[in-house]
Amino acid sequence: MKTQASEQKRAFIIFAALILICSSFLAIRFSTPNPIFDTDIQSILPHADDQRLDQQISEALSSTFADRVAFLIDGDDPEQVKAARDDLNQRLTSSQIFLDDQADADVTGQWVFQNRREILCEASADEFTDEAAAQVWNSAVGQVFGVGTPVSGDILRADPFLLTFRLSDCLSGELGNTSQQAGLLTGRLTTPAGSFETQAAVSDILSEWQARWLNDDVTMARLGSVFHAEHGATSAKQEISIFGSISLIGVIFIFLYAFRRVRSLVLVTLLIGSSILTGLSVTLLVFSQIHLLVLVFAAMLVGIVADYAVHAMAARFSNDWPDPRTSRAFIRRPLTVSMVTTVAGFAGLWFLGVGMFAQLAVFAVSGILTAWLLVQWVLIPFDAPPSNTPKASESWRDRANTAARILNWRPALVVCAVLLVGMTIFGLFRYSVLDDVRQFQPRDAQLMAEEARVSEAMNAGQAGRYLVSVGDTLEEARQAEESAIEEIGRDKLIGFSFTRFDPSAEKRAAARQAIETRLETPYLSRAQATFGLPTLSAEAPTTPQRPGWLDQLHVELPSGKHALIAQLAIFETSPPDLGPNAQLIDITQTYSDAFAKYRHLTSLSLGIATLIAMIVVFLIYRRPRSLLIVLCPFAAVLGGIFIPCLFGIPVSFFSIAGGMVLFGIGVDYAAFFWEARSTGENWTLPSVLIGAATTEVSMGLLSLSKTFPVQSFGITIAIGVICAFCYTIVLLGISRFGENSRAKTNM
Amino acid sequence: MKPPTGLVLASVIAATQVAVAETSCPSPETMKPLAGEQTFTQTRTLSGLDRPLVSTGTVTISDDEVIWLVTDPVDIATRITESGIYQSVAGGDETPLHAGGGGNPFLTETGLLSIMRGDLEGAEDHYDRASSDMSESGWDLVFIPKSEALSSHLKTITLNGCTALELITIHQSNGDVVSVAFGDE
Repeated sequence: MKTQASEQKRAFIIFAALILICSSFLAIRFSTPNPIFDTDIQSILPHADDQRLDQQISEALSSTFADRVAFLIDGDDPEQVKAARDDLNQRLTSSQIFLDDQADADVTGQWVFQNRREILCEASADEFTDEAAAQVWNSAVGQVFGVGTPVSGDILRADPFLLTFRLSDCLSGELGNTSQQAGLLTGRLTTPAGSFETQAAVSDILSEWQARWLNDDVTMARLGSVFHAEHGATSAKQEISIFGSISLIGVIFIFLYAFRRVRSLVLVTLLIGSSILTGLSVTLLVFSQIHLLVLVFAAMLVGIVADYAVHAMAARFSNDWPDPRTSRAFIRRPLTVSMVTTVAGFAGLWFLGVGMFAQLAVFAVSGILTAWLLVQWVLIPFDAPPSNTPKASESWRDRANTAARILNWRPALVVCAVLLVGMTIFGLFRYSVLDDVRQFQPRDAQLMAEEARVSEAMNAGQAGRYLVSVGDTLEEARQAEESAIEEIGRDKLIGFSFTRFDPSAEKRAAARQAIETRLETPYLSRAQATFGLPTLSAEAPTTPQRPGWLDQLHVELPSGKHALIAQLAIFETSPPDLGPNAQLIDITQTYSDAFAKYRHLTSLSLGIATLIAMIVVFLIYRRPRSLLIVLCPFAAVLGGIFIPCLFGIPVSFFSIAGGMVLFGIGVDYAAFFWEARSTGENWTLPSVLIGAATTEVSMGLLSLSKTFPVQSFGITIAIGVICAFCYTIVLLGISRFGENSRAKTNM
Repeated sequence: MKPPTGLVLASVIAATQVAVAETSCPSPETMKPLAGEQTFTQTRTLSGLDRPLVSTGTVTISDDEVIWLVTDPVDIATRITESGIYQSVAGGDETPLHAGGGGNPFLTETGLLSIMRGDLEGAEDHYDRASSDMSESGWDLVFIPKSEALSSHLKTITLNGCTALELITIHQSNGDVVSVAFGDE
């Protein structure tokens, strides 16, 4: 009893110290103004930490266009439409998450005015003919003496041909000019569209606005990636809520059925909570931020940690609650083998070179090490024997024996294993892969319809890809963009290109020359006489400020190069050869490529983890046959990934990620079965069975998700756990080598 | 960018032409839409120019459109409709005047279309009446824009008349003054 008491005292100190240290650290971190959680989905993409131009361009593209949004307010009453639009603008702007494009209207007007003699409505200076010049003159006269034109003395003296108005007219015309545009509100989000906070903020504002305005007379359509992201997040939250509830009920039921003790449930909950707390603390010690998706993937920790606890409790149940030291002796070696191999697997994620996976590696490794420590020196001491130990033991053995009778029917298990192997091999020959992000989650039909309405009003069409023109200097980039657009055709542009508003020096000079020779020389004296203009003095040179929206189209890459970005409509014809300084980029393809890259990296990481685990196991057991501890779970991973292919579910990054989780779980099963063979333990089978059941009702349940990434992950786990269980029992099971008759009898 | 002064004029004309009454100088509140043709003389006194810019012609107001026809110093036909403003100079093709050239937003966003329909209440959604002076010789109405956007361009619009609108004077925020006198001088 003295030993038990001192063990419990030590356990309490260890547990209290761990919780105190982690809680204090997290309290300090959370009290700082810097955000702890990175919720931007773009953070999971590869970063331009090297000098590869395509990566840098992809990042620039994402940041330039992903945050753009447009709203179309429509209705029969123009004044109501305007009021509704202004109210929406006010709500969004005052929340400081939105910047209206028209906020730059004055700067844009100044830019057009300052550049009126160097930018033409015509595509080239050659098209500004004598006839066009005559029309400019007539138009100026019409506007000065006619009605409907805001001519002031200041404007007329500076711009006697009203070129500013002409340029504004034709540029507006290039953007389309429909009656619907009165209700159009366009701009960009000031925080990342991929951020959950941004999505929630926009959603809240729109809900409030809709409650105020949406009725039979006013409608609203939205365009922007933030709305798709928000829709996807909402669906995911609903699924997580449903699956989470079912999982929780399922796990509680399994634990209460298996152990018949609330204490067991409480201890497992504390173990899981402590491991996650430690994982979070260590990760935030190493990284300044942690991506929220790391926490989602870290849910896998729950399954592994719960398995550790189940092993410890099953060992104690089966052996009439021995003292802590003896209890630890039962599980120490298999638990350590399982821990080392799983840690090796997760540590491999660090080497993928992706921030999020490095965070996951630190989180998982520290969480697993904590669980390994706490199971032995905290959970076991606190797992006090029940008041009626013999009765509890007898009850446990009854349930364990029932399970053993069913699962030890070897022919069925062998047939099952052969079938699973056969299906895996068949799947290996029939597999397909899916990296295309467009197919990860079906786009919401209503949002798509809304996008079409907004695009029509914007005269925009659906964006297909982007033209990126690069140069060592901005001027070189301008020249590259101008020649590329000439190749592609201006009609393919959606919105403006940078050079439409800020052309190259060569184009500016040509425009100035055309205006001087064809307009100013023949008509300036007439303008002075007709309008009574004083003799014009030379304008003082000024450097106009570029409007913010125009600046967004220009990106200085980390390499020092300048990139100009223009949005293009979808076009069927094959793209022309644009030369070395311009390229067409499909941003969706960029994301898909990133996921393909992750799939390869994760597969590689899985392979490396397997090799490391084989070396570790061999060093521990020094027997070739011990490699089955690694090969069984590896075969289960292959089954989890490739068997679903037979049912049309392709291999993806998410199934490989599921495979990594599965590997850790499978090694755990195999290590315990291997040890059971040599030590004659009789609790391994029920222990692994409980672990597999909890994994199936938690992570395996995700296979019912409608979202492909979640479904893919869940199916891999669901099928893989069955494979791991089956292969392990057949190859390493108690009855496999006839070495453990005592255990078999006990069961 | 400045407001479409001419359009403001046309709108206000349409609204105030209705102030014709049986008795001398009736209240302008009784305004109703007026169809028909009026001669006008527009004088733009723009800052920094040697002389005022004077144009003359006729304005015709119907339910569907306002046609502003300048005959001197050049032929300019401007047609104002709900769908936009179109202009032809010196017998040339009619072309739309887009937002950059002024017009459309001021039709749809300032309530001027309401005024053109003779709806003075509609005008007062966008303009406050600063003063209404009645005298033996007629009435003077002074309007000031309600919105900051419009008031940054327009300071006041003054209407003078008796049995009919005789003079509109627009004081722009930059000091320019545009006046339109109706009827033969």
